[in-house]
Amino acid sequence: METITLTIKYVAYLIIMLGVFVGVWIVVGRGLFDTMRWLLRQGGATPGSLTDEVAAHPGGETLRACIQCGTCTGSCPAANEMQFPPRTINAMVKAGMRDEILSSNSMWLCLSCYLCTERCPRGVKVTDIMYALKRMAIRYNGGNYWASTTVQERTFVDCVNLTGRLTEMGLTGGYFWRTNPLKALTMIPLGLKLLSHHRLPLIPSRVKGMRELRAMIKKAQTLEREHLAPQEPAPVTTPTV
Amino acid sequence: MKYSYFPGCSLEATAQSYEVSTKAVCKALDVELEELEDWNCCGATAFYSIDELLALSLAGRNLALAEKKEGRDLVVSCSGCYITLEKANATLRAYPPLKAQADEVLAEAGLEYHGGVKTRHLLEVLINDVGLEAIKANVKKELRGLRVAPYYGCQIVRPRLGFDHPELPQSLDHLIESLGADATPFPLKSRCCGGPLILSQEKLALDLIHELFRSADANGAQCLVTVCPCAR
Repeated sequence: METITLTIKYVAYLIIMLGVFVGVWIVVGRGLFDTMRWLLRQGGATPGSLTDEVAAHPGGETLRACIQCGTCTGSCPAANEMQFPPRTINAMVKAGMRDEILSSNSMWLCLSCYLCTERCPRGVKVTDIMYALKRMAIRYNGGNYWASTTVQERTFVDCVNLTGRLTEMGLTGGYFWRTNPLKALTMIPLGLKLLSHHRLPLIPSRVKGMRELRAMIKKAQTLEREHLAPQEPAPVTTPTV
Repeated sequence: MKYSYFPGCSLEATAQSYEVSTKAVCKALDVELEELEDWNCCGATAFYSIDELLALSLAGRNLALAEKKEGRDLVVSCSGCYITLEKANATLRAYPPLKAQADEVLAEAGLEYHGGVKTRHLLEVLINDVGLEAIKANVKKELRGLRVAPYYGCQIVRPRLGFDHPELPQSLDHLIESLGADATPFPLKSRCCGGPLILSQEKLALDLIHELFRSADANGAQCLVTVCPCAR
């Protein structure tokens, strides 16, 4: 009789624990704490060509100078992992292939190392174009909402919107909750190691002026992105070496 | 010499040792650092990937706070924060419509930014303001015989903002040599380590890191020195 009650008790505990685990996963993982969800409601192409749309972003106007030499792709450390490497992306933008580009993983693999931009003989700011495409993708389809890099960037943004500063626990914890909760368990040994060397603060440091920061974030949401309307193409200049 | 100091989020966490050494070295070299009051996260690559106005506003808040201390440069140890703040500065200057919107956002926090802050990396301050001679004179124990590979990472030298060569920089090499150690040749010294995507693209980042270590090892280095907590 006692063993039965004990078994029932332990099974109940297990169910409750699993329930909490799944519950937190659903709540946190399902994007309910996504502070940038308002961006997803701003989808849709702007009038004009895709080149004009990219050109409206800072740095995007240099795309017109591309001569398809391939220096960018040759320099890119992540080109092999991209569905379409930088040179191809530039050609696709000029060809107006909006759906294919914005659904791809290409720009999300950009490491922002600027080697392409540095080496481009025509002064094309390839990295800035990649950033522009990421932002356009977010508005288009959430940026492949559940893709690993998109989740990482979203989690980073959520953490900072919450406390003003980023913490390891917030970023890695949030990231694993949203992508692969079980993987979080494999990080425990590393976490303990960092903790023992005082390299893992458990209490996040906060910005004192959070109220003002939140007001800023709210204001940024309301402003019309007028600069995203197609503009006059900027004059193309070739940099002097 | 008095400067405003921006630690950045990583120096408060896993890169705490970088903050400890920054403060200790600056104290020894009479470089006075005053932490920027109530600084916020610079935004790094993540914010710029999601929304440029918010990214510029976040960086702008730090710049506006720094501008309050007139005439003082903003010193940053973290390469990521350094380049993010300087890029924000450059972008706000080059795109007036964006600056106008950023001004509106900053006004919500009662802040204004007029473009008057110069963000500088600690390495550049040590080389240009303190000088290698002064550093050499302060060395108590030379690192004789230590072969060090100087790893700059990509963010301190690119996009080109005037500090050192964008692919084969030399400043850290000189600093290492002024301490008596040998700076080994390191062709991949400013190649990306994959840090920004270490969580989401683990294999890519680890492959890049592996290449860096192989190059450093092949050139006879015993250890690696880096100026970027992300790369760290």
